[in-house]
Amino acid sequence: MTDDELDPNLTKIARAYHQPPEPPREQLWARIAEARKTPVTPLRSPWRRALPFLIPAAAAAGILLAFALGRMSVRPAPIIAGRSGVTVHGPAETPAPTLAQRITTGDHLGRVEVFLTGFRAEARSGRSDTVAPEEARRLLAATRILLDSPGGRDARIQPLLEDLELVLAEIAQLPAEAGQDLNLITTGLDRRGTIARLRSVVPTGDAPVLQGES
Amino acid sequence: MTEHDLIARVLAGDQGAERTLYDRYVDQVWRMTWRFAGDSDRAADWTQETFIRVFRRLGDFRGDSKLGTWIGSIAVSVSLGGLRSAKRKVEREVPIEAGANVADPGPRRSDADLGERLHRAIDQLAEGYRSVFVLHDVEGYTHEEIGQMLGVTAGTSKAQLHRARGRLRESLAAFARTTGD
Repeated sequence: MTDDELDPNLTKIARAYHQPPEPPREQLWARIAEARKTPVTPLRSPWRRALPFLIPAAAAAGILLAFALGRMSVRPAPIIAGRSGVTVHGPAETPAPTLAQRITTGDHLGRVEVFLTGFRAEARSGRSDTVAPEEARRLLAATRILLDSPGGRDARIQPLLEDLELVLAEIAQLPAEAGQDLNLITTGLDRRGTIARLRSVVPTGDAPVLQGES
Repeated sequence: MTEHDLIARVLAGDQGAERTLYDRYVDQVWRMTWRFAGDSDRAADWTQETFIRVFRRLGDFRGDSKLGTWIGSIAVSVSLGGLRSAKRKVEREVPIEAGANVADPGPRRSDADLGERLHRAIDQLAEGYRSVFVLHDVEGYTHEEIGQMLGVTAGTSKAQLHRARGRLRESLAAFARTTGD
């Protein structure tokens, strides 16, 4: 107990916040079983094929990024729902990622690749990098932001970002004397091919750019 | 069946073990997602997504935390992602009656009770504060468990909770002034 705690009465009221009913267990299990039959969309090679065409565009990355940030700050006109309950829908909810957003995503994935490659090398050599958890936390925060961005919702990138979210969270929680944990993480990285998958979407060079659909 | 045995059997493709794992943790996941969602439709969607990710990633579970904490971290991640998507949608769909009051909801009803006000204040907390407050003060997780779920240190979790409680006190104080209590 500290003097920071809420009044006991308030805490009691807070515990009624969004009080859940009993879960529909069988219905949920049926949904999960059905959904698991659907295969996950794999990463495809077009990322690599179009890189030569995108490299010139990367030179303008800074300008485009600033432009994209400006665009993102302009919200679409709100949808008006009348008393009749009829709602007029606007443009598609999830816009395709812009070039600048793909650049940002590519840049982030490049940083994660460098970090994980270094982390794996350190771990295999038996050295424990005390900076790793802090860096992992920083990259984890950026990964979560990207997961919520149009670039992160790309069907080809989302599974990779989700894997990165998990592995970065694991590294972020490493104790000072990690020992066996390091081996487990690097084993997981190898088994899931995480770094290889990162390299398949991140080109070499100073300005990584990911290709979009359009 | 121990946690270790259960994981091994699921990884070996034992469908009965998958169901056992689900039965063991569905209540926890449902509670967490419902606390964030506030309705059964979204809670069901997020519970489903959580278990899909759990089964897909179970081989990566390192075992240095409880399996429930690890599953909880996925449930929180799914829930927060869902909340962000919902927030974007709400921002784009404004009922015509509420159009003039979007920026300022105006004076609170004097008959609004404390519970309603508190719950509304929790809804309005920033994502990080709300997550920690809900997990700690509402669901009863420790700061160490919350740290593992959110990928932050226990110290960060404590700091976030302190600030969340401060914000709630401020909101309730404003409510008390408005109602003349």
